[in-house]
Amino acid sequence: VSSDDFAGSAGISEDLSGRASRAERDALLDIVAIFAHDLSNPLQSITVLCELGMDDATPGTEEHERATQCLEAADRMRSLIHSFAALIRGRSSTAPLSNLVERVTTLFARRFDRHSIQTQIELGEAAEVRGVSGLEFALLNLLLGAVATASDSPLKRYTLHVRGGKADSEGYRLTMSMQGANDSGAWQPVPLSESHVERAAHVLAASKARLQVGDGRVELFFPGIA
Amino acid sequence: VPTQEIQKLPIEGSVLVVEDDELVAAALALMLRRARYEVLLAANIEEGVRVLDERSVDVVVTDLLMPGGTGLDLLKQIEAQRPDVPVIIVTADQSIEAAAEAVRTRAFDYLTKPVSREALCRTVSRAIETRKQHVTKRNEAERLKEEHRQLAIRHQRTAMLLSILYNRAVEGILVLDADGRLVDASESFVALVGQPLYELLDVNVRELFEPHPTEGDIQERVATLASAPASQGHWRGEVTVRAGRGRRLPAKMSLSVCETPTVEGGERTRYVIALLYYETAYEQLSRHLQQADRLATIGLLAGSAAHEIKNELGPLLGYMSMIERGGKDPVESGMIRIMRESVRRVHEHVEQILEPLRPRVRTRGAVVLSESIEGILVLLRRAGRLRRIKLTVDREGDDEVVVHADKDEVHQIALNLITNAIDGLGDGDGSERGSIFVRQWYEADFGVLQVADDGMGIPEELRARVFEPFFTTKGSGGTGLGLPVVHDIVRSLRGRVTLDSNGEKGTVVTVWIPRYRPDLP
Repeated sequence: VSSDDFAGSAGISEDLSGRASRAERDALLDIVAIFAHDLSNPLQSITVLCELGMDDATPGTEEHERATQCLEAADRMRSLIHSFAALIRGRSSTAPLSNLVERVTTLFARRFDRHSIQTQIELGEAAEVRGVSGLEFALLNLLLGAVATASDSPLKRYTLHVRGGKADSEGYRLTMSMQGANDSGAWQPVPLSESHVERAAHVLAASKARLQVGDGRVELFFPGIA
Repeated sequence: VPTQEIQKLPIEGSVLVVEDDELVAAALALMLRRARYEVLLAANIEEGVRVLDERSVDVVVTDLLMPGGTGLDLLKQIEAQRPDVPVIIVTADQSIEAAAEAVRTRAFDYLTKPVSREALCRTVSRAIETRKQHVTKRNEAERLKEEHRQLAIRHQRTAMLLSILYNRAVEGILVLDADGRLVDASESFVALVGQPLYELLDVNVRELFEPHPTEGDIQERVATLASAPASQGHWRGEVTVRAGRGRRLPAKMSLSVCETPTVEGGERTRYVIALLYYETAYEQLSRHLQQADRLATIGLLAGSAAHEIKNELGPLLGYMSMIERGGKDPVESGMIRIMRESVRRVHEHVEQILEPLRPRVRTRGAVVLSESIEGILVLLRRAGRLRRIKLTVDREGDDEVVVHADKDEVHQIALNLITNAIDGLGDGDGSERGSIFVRQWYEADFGVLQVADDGMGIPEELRARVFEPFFTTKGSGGTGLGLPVVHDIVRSLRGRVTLDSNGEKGTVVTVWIPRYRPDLP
């Protein structure tokens, strides 16, 4: 066996080993996905029943205490499932930020039209930065929040600003804010739906990104993954 | 809030939960019922569609993965058939692909299991509220559409009625711009004037009416009115329409300013609307009265003329007999010349009788009062009506009194007043019958003609009736038309007439006729 043959065999071996490893990872993630899905339904039932049990029990009683503990346990299980979900979503969330934003806003094109929402997107130097796990899902929830705000508000038209930029030496920032105009055309800031922002924050909790709300805008800080 | 109390609260809305997992379905139903929603359950898409067909549902909460079809299939059906029903996807599928597809298919919201009670109830509540807003907006849109339809019908009906009013009304309607030019005219006015509408458009309004002797230029009145404040934008008065075939028709006119409705971005335009109430009945009656009065005058003159003609015929017959007997040469002796002169006078008498019967076109303009009076006096003198009467004709100032009227109108006024005065004197038992005074003068914008007699006067109880047609104080000798005709003519001239009579001291009739103003067009 020549050294070349050895080297070739080693390369094949490494290649096979890598492919096997990726296959194992994919299989594991598939199992995680099924696991997360199958756990969700009974956990939904448990969560609801715990909440109702707490309603029915008198606060301070042993029954109320048990129901509270059950609900806490269900919450921990929910966090675990969301972590599993983040693992699954991590497979498809490494696209450049510009692609992610475009893909998500395209989904909302008709709905934005219906609610007279215009988008202004300026990603700047953050455009080519790779996204983090769960970012696409978080963006989806934030845009759902924009629609929810527009459907609840009496204003006539809206502009959704999405701006990107460098946050510090290592990370990047994505800022989202909305303004609405009244009958006379005067513009004013309109905060995104709080519940949807919460959902986005929850989705990103297991990732490296951080979500911050202030001055009527939502800011996402995340490390740049080139 | 205690459970018992919650159960007393009103139902917030109806929710269809489509979920194949019985445990989850039961839990969600419990949760939503506790939050005062009516919950309908379906285990798959087929059942869900059936419920939607049978029941009114405010919001659908559906799982994503179910046997027989996904929640997205249900969403697409609802979107196609009941787009106002919001659909909330609640799924255990954590993938971004599923969420993206739900959003693309226009799910109201997308929630991942396990969802908290607060999150689900808040989303359901918001969906119901949004639906209510959509339904309200849709109903409002339908109401507005129906209102618009009704308004369109009303507008059409109003336009039709206005068109009928505008074009079939006996009254004349003119639309004038702020400078007094004709913008539009109703058919009755166009027919009265006797010119096609296109020839009348943009014509100055003063060309359509006789100049008013005292009210000034109507064109200027319209312009003044159009620039006046809205509260002063009305005028009523009398005018004389220059109708077709030389007719002059008195009419009452009301002028009102109106503005076009404000259209966004447009300017208001002011118009003056003129409504004309033609005095056609008056014109007809007055025409009849004046005709009857002229006939009465003919009768009056005919008696006197017959006497004159008879006087002429006597010598004529005598000369003719002489010619027949063959005496003197008729030419050399001058008989023929005398006979021709007699025949000419007879012809003149006949012409005088026939003159009032000739049709004429009334043309108002300058009429010198003294000339009319002189003509009448010649006529009456020739008819022997002024015998044994002391007549005084007087005029204040050196200037002739010139009035704005038709020559025949003034003639008829003066003739009626003087013959009335003659009749008022009585016969004087063969001696002097009395005195008549004819006076003229100017008073403000009028020329005044006054005829007074010192005859028997008119008893007080009859005085109020002397202007009624066919009322007479002269017994069978009067027609009862003299003063009514004077009144009508003077009225049509925008003048006035008064009668003073105090028992035995005679009667004074004074007529004010607008003075002629050469500066008026």
